[in-house]
Amino acid sequence: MPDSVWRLAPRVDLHWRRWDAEWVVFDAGSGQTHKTDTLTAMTLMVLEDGPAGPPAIQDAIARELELGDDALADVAARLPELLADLGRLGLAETIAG
Amino acid sequence: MTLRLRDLPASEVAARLGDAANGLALRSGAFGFRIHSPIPSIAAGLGLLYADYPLLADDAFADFVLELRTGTGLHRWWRRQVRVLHNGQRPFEPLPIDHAYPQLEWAMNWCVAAHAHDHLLLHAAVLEREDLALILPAPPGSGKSTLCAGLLHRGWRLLTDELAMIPLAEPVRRIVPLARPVSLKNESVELLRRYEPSAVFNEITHGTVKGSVTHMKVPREHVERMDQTARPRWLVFPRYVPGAAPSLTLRSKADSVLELGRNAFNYLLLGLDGFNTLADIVDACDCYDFSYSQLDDAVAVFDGLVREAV
Repeated sequence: MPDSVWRLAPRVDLHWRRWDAEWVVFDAGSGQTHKTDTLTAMTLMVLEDGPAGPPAIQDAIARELELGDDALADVAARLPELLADLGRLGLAETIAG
Repeated sequence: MTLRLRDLPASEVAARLGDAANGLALRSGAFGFRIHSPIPSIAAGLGLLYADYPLLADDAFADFVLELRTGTGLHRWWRRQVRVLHNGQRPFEPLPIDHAYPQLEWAMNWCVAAHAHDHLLLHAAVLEREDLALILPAPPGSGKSTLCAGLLHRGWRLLTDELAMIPLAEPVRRIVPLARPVSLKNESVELLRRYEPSAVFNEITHGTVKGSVTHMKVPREHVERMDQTARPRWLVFPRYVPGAAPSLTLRSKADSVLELGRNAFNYLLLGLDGFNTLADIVDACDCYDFSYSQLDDAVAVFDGLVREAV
């Protein structure tokens, strides 16, 4: 879904803790607690700022983490499945249309 | 001077328990319990295990009021039962009268776990040295209570064997003692008798849902310090492995948050306050997995943690 735009699901309200490269996020909307890696955490943080499509998410993460081309390609490859996982967890959704 | 249960003769303990108006009221940790019961094993168990606990005055507020009555109807004579009432409600099914004492302890646990939601309540034992708390969360069968019972006879102060309490409203996280008798079952009882011959146990109740159970008395000096909180320092997930050498390995803090949340009584109920408190506890602690088979090995490992920390 290269052209889909993603946003946080309604009522999602994220609160973060980090230890080294491990992140834990609590969604006050659902009461669920999740462990995530840095890429997932960064993706959710981008969506906390507002809806974004994969290219915009990639760009934001690349800027934040100062990624090189190889790492950026890895992000691009992982992002579709990662976003789908966030959708299954009820944390993110695509904007219709 | 504070009146303690040991200051009353056994006949007075039984008389107060049978007093329908006031019952017997005592304090354990932050909570007052007012108990009514005509059952002799309740009087005997309380007299033995709670001898060092302060009594509350007849007109003092008690957080929880428990009545343990004998069965009604046919059950007055046939398959006699104990029925527990809390504030007049019956939260448990009746049990055989022989199970009355452990039923009281379980009911006291339930009172706290079901109501003290101004605290994060973890299913964990907690012990203290040098103001530093060792938190041992674990599901039943992990050897947590046995480990806790052993440690408290080897220089560690008991805060709780079952229910760790962290106030939500305190900005500096401390663990509040409950200081109740230690629940032991099956082969752990004999193991602890051999490990610490001076330990005092209530009589064993056989045939409960947990097997053969009893409670071990908390040493007097621990009861006298039951208002002293402790700072979380180590979070250790214990696992009893027959024949295993002791093994203490660092574990992920993120995984520890999730696992500790699963071992909490009211984490899901507390929302963001629960998460913040839980994460603060994990943040303050070194987190480990620990497998062991011998209590002395465990004592040596945990004493080593104290030496490194102070």
